[in-house]
Amino acid sequence: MRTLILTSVVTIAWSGTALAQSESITADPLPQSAETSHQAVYDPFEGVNRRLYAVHDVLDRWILEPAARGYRFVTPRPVRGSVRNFLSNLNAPVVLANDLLQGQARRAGATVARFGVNSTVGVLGLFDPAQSMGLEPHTEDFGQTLAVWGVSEGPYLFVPLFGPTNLRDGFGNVVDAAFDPLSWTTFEGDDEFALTRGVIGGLAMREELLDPIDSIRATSIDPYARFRSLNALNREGEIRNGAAATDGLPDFDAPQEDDFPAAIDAEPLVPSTDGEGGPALPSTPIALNTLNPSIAGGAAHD
Amino acid sequence: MTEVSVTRSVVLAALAGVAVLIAASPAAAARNEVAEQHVLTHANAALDALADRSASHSAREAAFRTSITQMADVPRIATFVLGRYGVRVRSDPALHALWLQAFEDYTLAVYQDQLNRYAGSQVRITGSLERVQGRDVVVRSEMTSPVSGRILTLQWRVLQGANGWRVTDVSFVADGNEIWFAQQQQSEFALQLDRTNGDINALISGVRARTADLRQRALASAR
Repeated sequence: MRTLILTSVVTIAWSGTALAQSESITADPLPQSAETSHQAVYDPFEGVNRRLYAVHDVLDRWILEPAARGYRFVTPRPVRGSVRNFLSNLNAPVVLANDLLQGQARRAGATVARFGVNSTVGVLGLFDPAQSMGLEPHTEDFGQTLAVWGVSEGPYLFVPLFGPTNLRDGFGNVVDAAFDPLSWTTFEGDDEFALTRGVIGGLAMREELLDPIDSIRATSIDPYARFRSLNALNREGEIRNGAAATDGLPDFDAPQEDDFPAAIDAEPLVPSTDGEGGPALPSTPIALNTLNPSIAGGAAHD
Repeated sequence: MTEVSVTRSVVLAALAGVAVLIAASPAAAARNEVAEQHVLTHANAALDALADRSASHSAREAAFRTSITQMADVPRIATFVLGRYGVRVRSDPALHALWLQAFEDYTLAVYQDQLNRYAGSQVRITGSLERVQGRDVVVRSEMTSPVSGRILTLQWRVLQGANGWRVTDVSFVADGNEIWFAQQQQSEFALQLDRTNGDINALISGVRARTADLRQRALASAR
């Protein structure tokens, strides 16, 4: 679910629920993001992933979405904002650790300062006065750290109730959870705090995604494909830590080779690994630092 | 003494002038006001069309269609989003016409669905970057959600073509991330076409079905 919210941050923009102004246009190198994003996503388990997505979709429509709508109905907008702030503040140790692991001293400093200001002036993180002091929030996770270290994303995975991810980022989430001190904290011997935090966090995230997911379902001819490519593009941006780039935009008029001519009236060229037919996607995962040469030296805005 | 003072002033003034020139020249060279004006005029006309509650639903749709088709190079986008499968459409005029109509209807329905949330707001141009002089510009803009007050940052890819400047793609920017809409569509359509061995007619059916759903949704929200 955490990945789902990251994936959909851009579609949130369309629905107007959560946006931040971003940096000015820069000309940093960017991979040929979109046309290649379809090709770049290594999805050897597409058949299985699609089935898992279908399971997720049913669970979401019957459980998560109604719960999120109920949460929206009973809580005013400022309360929901404070819940998000509080949860985000609790995640500061994980962000800080990953800032440091990526060698981002300035961002680590900002994370510490934000945590200090928001935990005190911001009443235990319920408010975000640090932002109005120029300390913009940013996210980091171990999946991003691994990418910065040059680890490829591995196969794409869709995990019910969790959302789109890949082997590297999924592993990163496990490490983040293990590293998070609050995952291990018990109060008077019971672990209700961790459970409550997980439930409220899931509700808050799904509520924030009500409009974007509704939009994807309404406009997409293949929501599975939409989630997959949005996840890839969104993670590229997060790993880049950077402002919008324009250098790698595609040439609209370049004739593109139809490189599957024999597949029109014939059997699939290469059987897919999940046995569903259809041409297989590229068999080699593409290292993210190959896709994006500016990963390690991005601007300081996540 | 006086001579020294004058010399210092001149040097300081010269340095300041050089600094201003250095600071100003890249930005001045990068902007393209014609492309900016094209976006401003037509994007706001489209938003105004959606916000016009005195007009009937069909009249609003027609005005919106006019604005978008004047603003964007829909045929060019329609070919681009097919990626490597575009060659099949280009070689078959009948299929090309079918695809173009289906894609235009779908695109307008999607834009209308998304921009309805911003009906009543106005696009503000915040800058532009000329990628290729006189031919390829990225225009940067903002608009404010009338509901939440949040600011949406949009970028428009504007290319010079046979009919002058036309938008070929739009992206929104959030927290340093950006998604270009036509590129995203290309990716989605490519996966769909891969799964059907490049069957453009199947894609047209899918796009038409989605367009019909979106029109129903627009009609329901207009009531």
